[in-house]
Amino acid sequence: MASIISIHSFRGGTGKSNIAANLAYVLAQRGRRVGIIDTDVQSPGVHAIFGLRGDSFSRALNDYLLGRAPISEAVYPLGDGSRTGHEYLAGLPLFLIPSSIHASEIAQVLHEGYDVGLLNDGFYTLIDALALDVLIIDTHPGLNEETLMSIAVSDSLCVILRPDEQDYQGTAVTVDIARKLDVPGMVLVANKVPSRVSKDELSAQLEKEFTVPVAGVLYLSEDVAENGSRHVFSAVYPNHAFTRTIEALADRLTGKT
Amino acid sequence: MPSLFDHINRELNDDDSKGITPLELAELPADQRQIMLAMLRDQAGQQDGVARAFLIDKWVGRVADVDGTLNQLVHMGLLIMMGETPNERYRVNLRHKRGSNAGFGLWSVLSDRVPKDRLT
Repeated sequence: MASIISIHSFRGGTGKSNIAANLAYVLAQRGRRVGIIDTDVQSPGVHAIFGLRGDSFSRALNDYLLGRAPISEAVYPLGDGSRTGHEYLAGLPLFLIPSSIHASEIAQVLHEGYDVGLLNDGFYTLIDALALDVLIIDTHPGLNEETLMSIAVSDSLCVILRPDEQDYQGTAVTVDIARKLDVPGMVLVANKVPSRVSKDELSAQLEKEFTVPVAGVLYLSEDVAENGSRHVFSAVYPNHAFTRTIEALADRLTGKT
Repeated sequence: MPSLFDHINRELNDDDSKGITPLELAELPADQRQIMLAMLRDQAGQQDGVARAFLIDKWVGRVADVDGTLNQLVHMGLLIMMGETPNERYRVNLRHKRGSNAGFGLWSVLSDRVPKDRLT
């Protein structure tokens, strides 16, 4: 059985897409067949981390949701070695389903709405057609219908937050909804944590506050900032503390620990 | 007297209010919610629905009245029933996501401006 992992944060700018992309890469490198779908239709971006430009893909999740194409036409095999500068992806069983970055395409989905059931069907069609072991869903921040649908069908939910009061309050809302939706596994990941903050103390504080296990603490990193979503960070810096934490997160979310 | 067109038009427009949103799903009573979530997560049942016999077998002893709960969910319009007794199958009836109230002209104008703005 494939497992569905949603990566979510209540607020934007937490590093959600970056963590989703790196998690997908680490799992694919271990030989898992991994799909990563960008359901952030309003503000898509994960494709950039894998070296795709917005004008380089002709089909996207938008086309499927609007009934213009089967979801299989919006799948981009990242392991085909076609992206210059991203040769480290070559040969990996990693598949991306991007959302369109074109204003008119985003507008059309927002304007017309879509059948939410179609999104759910799409997840399972992808799992079946690509024989996936893991489907990672990069969600839209906050709580909208596609996000709630993603959370509802997930085996695991990874909530990203920064050590910030606004993030804490929003995370409380997400955790509350996820509990009502009976998500089997839920973890927190603290990102962009200042270096003077103790990892153990922060984890203890978050676990007490939300009664959800903390699966990783990622410190604010100039290396990650400098990478600027141009590459999959874990591929470029395999021995970096960030990469080690993503590897531990992958273990946790796939039941290895 | 309303015409056939009025009737059909009203039915079509009413479609947006039928079914359930994921947020409403979270607020259902525990028995109903468990069954609905299990159906959403059932990979095999996504295309043709989940068989009644399978659901009863799976939930008997865990949900007080599986048969009654299924009937309630169908009656509330939250489950779509397919097939005939004794081979009924069910699918979750998810509500269509409503579009934005902003006029499409607004989006078109924005869309047209983006490439021009990038060039300047």
